[in-house]
Amino acid sequence: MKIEPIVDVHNLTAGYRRRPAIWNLDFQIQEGKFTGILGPNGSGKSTLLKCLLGQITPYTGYAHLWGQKVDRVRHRIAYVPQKESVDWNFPATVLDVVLMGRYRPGRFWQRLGKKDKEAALYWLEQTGMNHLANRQIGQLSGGQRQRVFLARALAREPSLLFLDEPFAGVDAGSAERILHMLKLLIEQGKSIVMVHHDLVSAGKILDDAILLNTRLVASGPVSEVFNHENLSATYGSDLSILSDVIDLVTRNPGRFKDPRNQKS
Amino acid sequence: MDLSNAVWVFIGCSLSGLLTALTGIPMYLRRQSLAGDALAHALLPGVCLGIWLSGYRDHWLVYLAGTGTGLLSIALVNAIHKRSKIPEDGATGISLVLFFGLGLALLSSMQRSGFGNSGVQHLIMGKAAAMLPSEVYVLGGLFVLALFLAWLLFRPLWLFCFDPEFAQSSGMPMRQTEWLLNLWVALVVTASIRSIGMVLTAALLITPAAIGHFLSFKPKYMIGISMLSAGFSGALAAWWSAYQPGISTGAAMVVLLSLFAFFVLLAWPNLGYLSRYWISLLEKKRWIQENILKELWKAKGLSDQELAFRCGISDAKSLRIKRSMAQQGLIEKEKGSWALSSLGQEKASSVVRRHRLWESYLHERLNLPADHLHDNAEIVEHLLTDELESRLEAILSKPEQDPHQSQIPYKKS
Repeated sequence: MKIEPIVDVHNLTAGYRRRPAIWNLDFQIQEGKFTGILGPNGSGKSTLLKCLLGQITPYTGYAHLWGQKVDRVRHRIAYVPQKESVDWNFPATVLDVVLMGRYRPGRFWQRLGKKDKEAALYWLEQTGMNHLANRQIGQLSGGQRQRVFLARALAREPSLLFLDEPFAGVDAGSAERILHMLKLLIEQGKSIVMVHHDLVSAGKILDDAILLNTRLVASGPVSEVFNHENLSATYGSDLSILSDVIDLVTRNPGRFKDPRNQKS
Repeated sequence: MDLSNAVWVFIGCSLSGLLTALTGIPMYLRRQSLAGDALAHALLPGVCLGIWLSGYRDHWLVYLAGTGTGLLSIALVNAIHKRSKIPEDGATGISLVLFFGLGLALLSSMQRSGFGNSGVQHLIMGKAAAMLPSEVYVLGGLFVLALFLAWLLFRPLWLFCFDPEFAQSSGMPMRQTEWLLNLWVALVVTASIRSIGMVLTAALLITPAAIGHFLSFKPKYMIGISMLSAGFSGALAAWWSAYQPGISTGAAMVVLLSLFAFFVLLAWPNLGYLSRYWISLLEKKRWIQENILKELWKAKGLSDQELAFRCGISDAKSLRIKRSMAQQGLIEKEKGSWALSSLGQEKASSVVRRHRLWESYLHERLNLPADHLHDNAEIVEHLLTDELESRLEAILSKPEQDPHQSQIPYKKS
């Protein structure tokens, strides 16, 4: 019997400002797996993640979660953005930030209650940050910032967690703690999709990998896809024709968008 | 209600300050400070149009048309920015000039055709002395509504401003939230134009938020401080222009608020620039004093020149600091040269102890060679707390000597 995939990507082409960054991707992610999206800089990892999260509309194809559009399943997912994506001088305490994870679609106008605060404190404790709950977020180290972001995402109690380079600029102690939390989630049957750049650690921590270099190079269990051929295709530079065609598409004045994909 | 005009003006200006401060916080936090300025300018054609159509300056048409052109200008910014390579601030500049120009054209043609008496000319500079009770009611209603919305939506709005990516992934309706915020800003600015004037409104949207952010990182304090500083400057400005009718209320409010902002930036205890400079001077003096104590502890009967040289300071400065130390009872004259008093003795041995404990720690735990220890300890000796000192003693189990084989002076217990 075929297992229903948790993420289903079909013929996905997407990018910014009419410049495609990923081409015709097809792959699936199974439930309960720790999956990494791997590829060199500029290979479209972030674009793919943005498609999965519904932040950009694809030019062609689709990315479905649980067989549906992401907008219908937002209550079941959580996201840990790159910590550089926000201003850490923002007037907020650590607890304020973790509480931000307690909102669910359709109840943004409801005030948070005691239960939400307890949940936030629980996840701060799980990430080893409870003693810093009343600190200003700007006073935290890189690793602590990442742990706050993880606690905020986990406060949503997601079935599927997305992370964007969670180990970049993080000290060894925090990295170990974050990895431990992620492994616990997998043990509890949750699924994780993580953009990652370090091949060495990827082989040790991931179950499955998606190797990306504008087009899909390979996807599947790490033990199968991590071979010399795939890795040199991912990190090599034999893409000159493809990048020339991307240039053509970008400079062409015609509309490069599948009409079926217009936002409803 | 039967209140004198001055009271209405007073209430109106305070309300205006409170309301604009609260409204400006999301703009400030989203780094769209200048967008408030642009929006305020873009209201002018709408407000003029409203007055022209209705004949009154407090008619509902004025609020409707003002808000309308304000939102239209934002839509124009988005359209330009998203469909071309012109960046957002460039698009804002284009839109601001276009709408303000239209407004000025309307304004001047209306003044020529006899609309001068309905107070059109004060839209730009603001003149609260002519404030109508009906306008104060609008401000009051908006303020109550603003308080309620802030209470209800404070956390989601904070999330929206802090991390739009995460907010979007959690399912927050981003575009709707943004347009509601813009609509709110347009409404508030239209309502406050009478007292502040549109050019100065931007200052009242942003400066209070900046003051609040400078003084506190806790959201609720930040909001409170912002509102209080703007509310007070509104009240003071009303009082000021009541005594000196020539002064424009909007200008008075902005001047008072800005003066307060500069005072806070410069002189607020512990945070202001001058305060921090003063604290750093005191700290420097403490370091020098501790160095003098240490040198006197190590070698008795030092000459004044030798002491100043060892501490790396001029003779004159050394003399000044020693006088102040003598007043504190740390040192005393003994046979023509300075010596430690018993209090000074105690303090000096504490500095030396910390210095040598830290050297031992660096040597033993961080495996630094003996010639790398001293410079680091010269700094840390002034900073260690009692608590850290006893923790150091504990993990090193009270060594007799430091890595340079000097005795570590412990307290006699």
